[in-house]
Amino acid sequence: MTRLRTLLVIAFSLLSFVFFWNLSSYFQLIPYFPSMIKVFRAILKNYEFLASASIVTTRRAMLGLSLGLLAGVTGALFLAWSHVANAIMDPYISLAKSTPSMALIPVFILWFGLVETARVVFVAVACFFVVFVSAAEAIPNVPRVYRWSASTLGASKGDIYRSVVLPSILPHLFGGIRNAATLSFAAAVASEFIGAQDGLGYALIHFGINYRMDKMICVVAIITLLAAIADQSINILRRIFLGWAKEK
Amino acid sequence: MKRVTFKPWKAFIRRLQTCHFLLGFLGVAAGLAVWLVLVYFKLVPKYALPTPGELAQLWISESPRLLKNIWLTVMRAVCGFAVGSIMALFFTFIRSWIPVVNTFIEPIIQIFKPVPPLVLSPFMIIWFGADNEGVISLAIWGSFFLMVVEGHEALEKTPLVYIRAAATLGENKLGMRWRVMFPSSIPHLIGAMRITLLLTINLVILGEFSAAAGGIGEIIVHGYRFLRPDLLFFGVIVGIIVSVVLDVLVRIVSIRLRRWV
Repeated sequence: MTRLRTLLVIAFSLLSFVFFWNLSSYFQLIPYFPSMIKVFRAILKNYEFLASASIVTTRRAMLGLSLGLLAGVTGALFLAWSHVANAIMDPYISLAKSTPSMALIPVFILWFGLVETARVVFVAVACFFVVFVSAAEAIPNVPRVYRWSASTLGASKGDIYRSVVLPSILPHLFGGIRNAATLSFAAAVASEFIGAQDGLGYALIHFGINYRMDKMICVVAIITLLAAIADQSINILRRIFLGWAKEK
Repeated sequence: MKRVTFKPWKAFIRRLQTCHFLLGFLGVAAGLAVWLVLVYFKLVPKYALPTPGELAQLWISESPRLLKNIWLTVMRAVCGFAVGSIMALFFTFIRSWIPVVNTFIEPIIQIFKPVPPLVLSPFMIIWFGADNEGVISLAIWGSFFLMVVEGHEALEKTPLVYIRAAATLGENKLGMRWRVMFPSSIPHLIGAMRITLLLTINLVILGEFSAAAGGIGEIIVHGYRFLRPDLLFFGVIVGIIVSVVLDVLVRIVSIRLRRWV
């Protein structure tokens, strides 16, 4: 296929996306579905409210993400260091691997009350699970031959840790961090579905009760944008620090 | 000359360090002990953690209702997962078979892919109602988009050697997909399916929080609303058990599927 034809097909696809969106809103094929112009108008009209709500949610997501990353990366480095810790934590890792983290939102709200702490801690725990599990999965995959050859060449345990174990788990760890960054916004919004008074999740529920789908689509677009920004900034960091590693 | 002395405790510790399973068991026992101490010495308020007795009491007195709710969640998760991932696999197949369809569909998928499906639950409840339909369609949406992206990646990763060898042996375009690319990507697909399954259970539980149509999500929300830690933690534990059991089922199927690897 030539390049021009590919471009034409892509343009046609985007145009048909716009066309079907507006068609389904005009004939109400999907209930309460707004036209694109209405969505843009809703963004312009509710600019201040949306900005303040996204600042609240971003603060929760970023606080939670940084706490979760701190705990997760520390735990992962410790796991990589100690064989015994790895063995003791093994059942918990398999639990964390298949815990539906959204089920934990009410647990934290019960423990901390309807305050900021509950939501931040929930986001932190959700991010912690992702980072920790990705590291724990990477540790057994460090080729044993590398360790053996390093110790044959006279490396101490610290040397092996620094020059063999860390470089081989870091790419996986960064993959986990990237997933956690994307998850943090979704988790913050999901935690705001229950008993919040501000933030994008509250806005979504509030507009949903009033069947204002144009405003709801604005909110979803903002969440998507924020998550994509977080994802891409982690990716840029990864390129700077781990340019030598293969994309995973 | 250094004298060699026998130190039984050191030998014991070294023995313990190599015994992976026992250490894991000790970890679980320590976790359970912490729970029991917190509960029985009243170190946490009564509403924060249930005692084992309360959990047993709950199960004895209300097991039929709880079982019905668990069944609802399992049914929704399995339906959403099955429909979403089968649709996605079919779609991936067509996409790789006809290049024009791929070029046409790629930008639209790129628009929807970064939308976190967790935030779409209010939409699905408005469109499909606060019942099975709403929750299942949320699960279908989430599993479909995850599997479409992952499935395409998996098919693209087929080693070129396999494709060239099959082409040399005279395989046609459809057979190439069905007999070469699809089987060779099965390990990757199984990994994707396990991630998708966890996402689906998350979506179902989150949908049940707001849909109020039964299920584990509703058990959890009731526990939180009426300050009943037994209900709340029962829901969380059952959610974990359900996701573990479904994951094990996927793995059993996968062992059969990837025998050739």
